[in-house]
Amino acid sequence: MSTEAVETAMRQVLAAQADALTVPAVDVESIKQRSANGFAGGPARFALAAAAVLAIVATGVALNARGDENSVSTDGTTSTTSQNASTTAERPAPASTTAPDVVESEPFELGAPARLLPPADRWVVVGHETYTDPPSTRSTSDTYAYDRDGALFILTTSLPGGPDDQPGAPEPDVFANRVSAYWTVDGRRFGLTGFDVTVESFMEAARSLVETEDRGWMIDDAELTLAERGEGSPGGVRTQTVFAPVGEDGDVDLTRSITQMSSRRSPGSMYAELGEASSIGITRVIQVAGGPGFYIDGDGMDYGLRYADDHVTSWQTDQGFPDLEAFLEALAVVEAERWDEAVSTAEQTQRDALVATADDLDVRVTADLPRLLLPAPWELVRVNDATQWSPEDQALHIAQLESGGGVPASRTLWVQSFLALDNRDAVVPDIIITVQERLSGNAYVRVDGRTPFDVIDGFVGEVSNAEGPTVAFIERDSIFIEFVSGSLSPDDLIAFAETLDLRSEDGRDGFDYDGKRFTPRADSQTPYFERPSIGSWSASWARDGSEVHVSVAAAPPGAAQALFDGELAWALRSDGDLIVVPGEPFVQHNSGGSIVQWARPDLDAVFIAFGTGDAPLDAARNLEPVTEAAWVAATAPYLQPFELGPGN
Amino acid sequence: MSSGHATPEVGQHVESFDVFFAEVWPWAFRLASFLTQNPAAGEEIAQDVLATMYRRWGSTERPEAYLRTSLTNSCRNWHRRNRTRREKLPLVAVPDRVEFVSDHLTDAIAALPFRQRAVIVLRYHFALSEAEIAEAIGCRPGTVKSLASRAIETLRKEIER
Repeated sequence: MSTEAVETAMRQVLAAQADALTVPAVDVESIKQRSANGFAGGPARFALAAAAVLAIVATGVALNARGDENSVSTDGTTSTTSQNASTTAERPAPASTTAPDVVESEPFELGAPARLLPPADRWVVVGHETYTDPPSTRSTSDTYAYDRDGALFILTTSLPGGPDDQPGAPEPDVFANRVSAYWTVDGRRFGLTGFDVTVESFMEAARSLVETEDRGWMIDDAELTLAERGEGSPGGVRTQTVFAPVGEDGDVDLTRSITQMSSRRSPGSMYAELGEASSIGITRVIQVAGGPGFYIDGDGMDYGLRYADDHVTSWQTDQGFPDLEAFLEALAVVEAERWDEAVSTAEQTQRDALVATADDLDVRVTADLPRLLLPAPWELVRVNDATQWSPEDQALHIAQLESGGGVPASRTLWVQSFLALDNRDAVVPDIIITVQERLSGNAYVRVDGRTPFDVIDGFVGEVSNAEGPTVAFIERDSIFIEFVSGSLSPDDLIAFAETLDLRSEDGRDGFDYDGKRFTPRADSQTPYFERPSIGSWSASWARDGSEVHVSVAAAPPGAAQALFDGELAWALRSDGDLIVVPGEPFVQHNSGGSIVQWARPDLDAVFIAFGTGDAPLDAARNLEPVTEAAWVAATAPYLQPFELGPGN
Repeated sequence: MSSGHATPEVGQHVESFDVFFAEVWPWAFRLASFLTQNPAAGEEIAQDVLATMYRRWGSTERPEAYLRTSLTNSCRNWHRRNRTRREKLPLVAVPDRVEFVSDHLTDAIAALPFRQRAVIVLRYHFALSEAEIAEAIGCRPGTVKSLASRAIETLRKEIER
């Protein structure tokens, strides 16, 4: 069938679909109203939050009049002359009011943490710590909240504010559904944030801000409600609780977690935190444990906030992209007994989950690793040797490593590198291609039964972007292909990625580009993400005040070069200062220290040495091979036992 | 409505958002519905994008291009959040206009990767140029060509099955 016929068929199908669609009658006024009031959810969202929270803060401090009468204009001018007046700090006793839209929680004891838990069949506590924060006398900002026709505004003012801004309106910063601006006038620093407002509306509010003698700060002739007076923090108990979800099979998934933090603080400090957290993404009001709370959609790094009963509670997604919004909506205040039981068994719950994961792991033990020692004057300090752990401990180690890393956003399927024929001895390949699959929803998109070249070939001609001098990449749905080069110019790299034409279907004959022939370096097409065998050891040596750490890991058969080239791709992309040591197989790069890496495909092993100064390179050059028996004997006094916990 | 409907050109100087909205709403809704394969989601996304445009009215020199890009990005984000659900658009059987058994062609279009589907819809229904499509989906013009040819190849195989 000709292309023209296919195109005609497509046009007809699309036209038929369009004809079948009934365009809904939407009035332009509803769009304008939607713009003013926020997105899906209607106009009541922030109105609910603002009114409810403002009613809560009304139980707190009422603002006393200040002595000044300044008209603060956001164009940098002052219309009246200020007169110095004392700032009264008198604080009347809080009045007791009931916020009409907030469900009252049970009263907490002074300093007791907020007891919020999700349903136990969906989430469990896997970590819990309690801290005591000392009081802080550091001056903080005065914080005010204001409901402007359903839109929430937060104002902070502080002294000293630094040098005054130049005359001119402050530049509003627009991000997601938040508009904010900061400026300094008469030595006082102001910050104003508005949610779900137009820039014009925001600037109107900013320009109308005025401080009056008898009613304090006002916007639109309306008095702002003080949420916190900036006099430091009283300190107190702070709790940190980590939750992990329970899968349908009843297994706890430690790769996804949410941390909940709670402490006794003022609404003002919650607003300050909201102002910072809203820089993550769109901020929305949701119900949390029967009251209004805030959810910020950080596209995987999400945040939640709630104020109730003198406590500010926050949540953040730690790893693995759990559904924080669903978690927040499922929370409830619980009795002390249930809370105490959940947090006191957290450590055991985590361990049980690790053991369950470890039981399912097929761990391959490899003891056949190269054994190396440094000669004097280097002295051994400590040694870890996973090959000497029991199979059960090795499985627990892997389970802990994998849960601690969370569910990565992407994982590498294949690494393939190429060298030009006239550059066959290069340590850093001319081209490194990595194929990654991205997390989509809760699962990776699998590309089953295909070679890397099948996948790469399907992407030819679709370069999405280029970063810096060495990276071009293509992204289609959940597959991501990256081209990194140690030698091609940026334009050449992009041109290469767009026109890659393999000499054979399986890619083993390499390709031609710009008159040069490139051949593959790593011959293996082993899928990269296969879990390596638990074969590794690491040792630390010290000499004359410097220390070096050497780690040796077994690679799957034939995959050492691919593993090493994958590390090089990362280093080329990230570090920018990859250094090949002349005449040696080592690659050196500096990341807060000095890292030296090399591969021994003949031994199926990859090496890394890191430390400061010349120590890593010196170690790499002077490591001496010994028998396994000699190595075990020499390292025995320094051998660390396996421990489940950080550092292992 | 005939096929090959182009997004209207409302001119460089648009006097009011009201005029702009009246002209673009039908195709904005259709574009979002095509890209999400879900008319309800398409309606919601189109309204959200236009509400955002109203907030910034006057600050964009080419509002219809901005609208296309915003709609495409929003629909793409919607897909990332809703991968397991995909509803077919209703297809009215019009035997005298559709020569082929279009049901599985409809499915095949719906099953295309997002960017290929976006190129197909923007080229063969909205009749946009390569440059306009590249701007809407955020890629190079050469990539538009490549995406289109891959989509046609996939659809050709479906038709010939």
